[in-house]
Amino acid sequence: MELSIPAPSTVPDETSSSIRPEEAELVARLQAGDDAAFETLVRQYGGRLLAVARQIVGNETDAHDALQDGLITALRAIDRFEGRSKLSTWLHRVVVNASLMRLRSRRRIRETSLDELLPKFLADGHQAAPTPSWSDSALALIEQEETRAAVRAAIDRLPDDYRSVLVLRDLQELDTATVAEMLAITPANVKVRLHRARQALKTLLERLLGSPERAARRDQP
Amino acid sequence: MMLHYTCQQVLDYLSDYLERSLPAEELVRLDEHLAVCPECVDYLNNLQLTLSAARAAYGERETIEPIPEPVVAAILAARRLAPPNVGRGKNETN
Ligand SMILES: [Zn+2]
Repeated sequence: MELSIPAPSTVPDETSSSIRPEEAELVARLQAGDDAAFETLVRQYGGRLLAVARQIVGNETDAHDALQDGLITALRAIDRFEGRSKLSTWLHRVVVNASLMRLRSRRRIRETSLDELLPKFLADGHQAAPTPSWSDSALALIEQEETRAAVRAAIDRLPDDYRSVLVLRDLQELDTATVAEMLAITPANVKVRLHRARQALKTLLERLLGSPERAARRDQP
Repeated sequence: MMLHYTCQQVLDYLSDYLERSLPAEELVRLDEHLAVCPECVDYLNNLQLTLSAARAAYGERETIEPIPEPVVAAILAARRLAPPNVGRGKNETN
């Protein structure tokens, strides 16, 4: 299966995001087949792109593979890069596509069932279980590195189809239409998946952060 | 008179509510429900905090770690195995 390369027309064409001189020079060297230029590209953009791949695929090994697939694909397609967008924007799109491709090709493992994480309702339409009420204490917790690592792990546990939408919309801040195109689903479907992904993550975080009442009880001798 | 939403219906709309991507009359109906339903307000608050937590978990973009050396080496090796020119010569247009 060929990795898809974003067509120039799908890349934002704003003067503010057009290519910078040092990027243009790097692109010219890549197009000329300069080996050292590829290593420069890998080192200069690799860290940030690896972080994006890791968010989407949810683990280190697949992220390395997705980054490698994406950068090799980008190099093969560099002749088609015309500098109408920033190189970093174009690479970001190629690596996101490579990461989504990796998700589709791999066997699904250790996925949490989504249904189990969505709210349950009584016959009268009320929630079957009350939402633990978080307060300022939870707000303070989310800035701590220990909590941040646990939140990343919770995001990794979401089913692939839902984590990918949450990452692309809420973390990478791509718009609904772009995400719909990347995933080959409808914009309405993107919205439904995003909402369910947020709801599921909320449940996982409630288990993680607990409720103030529980925390207070725990503090007592 | 407008029909009132159940909590189940309200919860389905909360992402749209947060993004204000609903017709004005729908937003009014949701506001009316939230004004009298602390359970849905708790749910909405936690949903918002969940979003903040997700962003905080991946925040501080300026401290992105450099790409690990073994990953650089693997990519450069893969590039030597798959020369870039195989994709060329197809006369692809933009
Ligand atoms: Zn309610």
